[in-house]
Amino acid sequence: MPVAQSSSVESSLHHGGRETLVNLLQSMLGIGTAHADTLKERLQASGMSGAAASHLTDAALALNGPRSLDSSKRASAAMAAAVTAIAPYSLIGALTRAMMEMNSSKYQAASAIVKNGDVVYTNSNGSQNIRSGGTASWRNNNPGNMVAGAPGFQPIEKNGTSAIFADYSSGFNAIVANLHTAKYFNGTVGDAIKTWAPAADNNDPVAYAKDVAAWTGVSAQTQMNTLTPAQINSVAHAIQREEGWIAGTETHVAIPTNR
Amino acid sequence: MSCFRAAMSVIFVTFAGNAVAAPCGNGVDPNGGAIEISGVLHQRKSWGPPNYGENPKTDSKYVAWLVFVSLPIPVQGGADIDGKVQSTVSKIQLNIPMAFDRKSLNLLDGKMVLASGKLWKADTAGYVTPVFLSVKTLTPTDKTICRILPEN
Repeated sequence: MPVAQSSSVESSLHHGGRETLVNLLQSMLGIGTAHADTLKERLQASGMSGAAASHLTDAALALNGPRSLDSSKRASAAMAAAVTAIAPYSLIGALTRAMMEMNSSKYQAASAIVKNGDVVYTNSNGSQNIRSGGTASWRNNNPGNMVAGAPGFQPIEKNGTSAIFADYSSGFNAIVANLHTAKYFNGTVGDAIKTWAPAADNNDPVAYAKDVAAWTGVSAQTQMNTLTPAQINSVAHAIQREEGWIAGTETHVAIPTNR
Repeated sequence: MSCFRAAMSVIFVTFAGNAVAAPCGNGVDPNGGAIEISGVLHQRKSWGPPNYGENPKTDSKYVAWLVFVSLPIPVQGGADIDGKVQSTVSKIQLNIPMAFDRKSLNLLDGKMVLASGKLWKADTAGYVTPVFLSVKTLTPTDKTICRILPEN
């Protein structure tokens, strides 16, 4: 699944049923069977039960193998079992996070430079990944569009005033860490997201409150310091959605070899 | 005018124990320092996500509320303005809580206001000023004020 589509996937999952889920997985879970082996582990790391993670992994394997009526039936049955094994809300968060992580760059960059608007990441093994197009948050591995110099995290470089992180997880974890600081943690969920992204409410607090509830699964008036870690993650996802995470083109340049 | 007064009464919230206040001369802590400032309130259309003006055709715009302060606000550690560290700021973006009535807010556009709240360094792309004020109170005023409030 291209990372760019994660928001629309999550939105569709909110509003769609099991069939939608199966279709979305079928079209967007672009993982190979080798990567699917790690899906269960990632889903469980995201807070999903072992049983549900197993069902989803079975579905992914069926969907990514040779297409047949039998594989579709197996995938559908596995998805149905997964949906009944866990609450839909948990499924949405965990599944989206797992798919995004798997489809983010597989590399953790050691350094980065900005060249003609592109971000060139150099990995620890000497290979490079060049990101162009998309949104700034994606190019910078910075889903929260945080500025360099904000406390509590370590970007590897800056792009203008924005931080560049080594990988998606580092950027996402920086949002979570920053949400625990007094600026955000001592208020409501609605005010925290708006403080992070002042454009979020578009000066319409009523509509905004409804959006916050849909994005996070909790009321906009809920105090941040009462949230569980999973709920804090959902707030971080809402921020990522608000900032706009759209993938462009990523080019991998392998390590030059001497023959 | 009566409508204006009524609106002001809606958004006016007094500080409990607001007895001792120091002037801003020693600098305001941009990590939650409580202050009270005066200035002229204006709304400005500003670039929003996803690329904050990099792609004008696709980027969103939103209304940012700014106070052009009567007295420069000294900021502890300075504030980064267009790549240069300045010791004071002359305008400050307001972060308006959800609970504030927006019609009342619009009535203050272009007027001298007295704003209180906590000063924070802006650490995300959505701000047009290097520090912003999380507003606690916002009222019309004819005074010129910049003072540090006791923590509450």
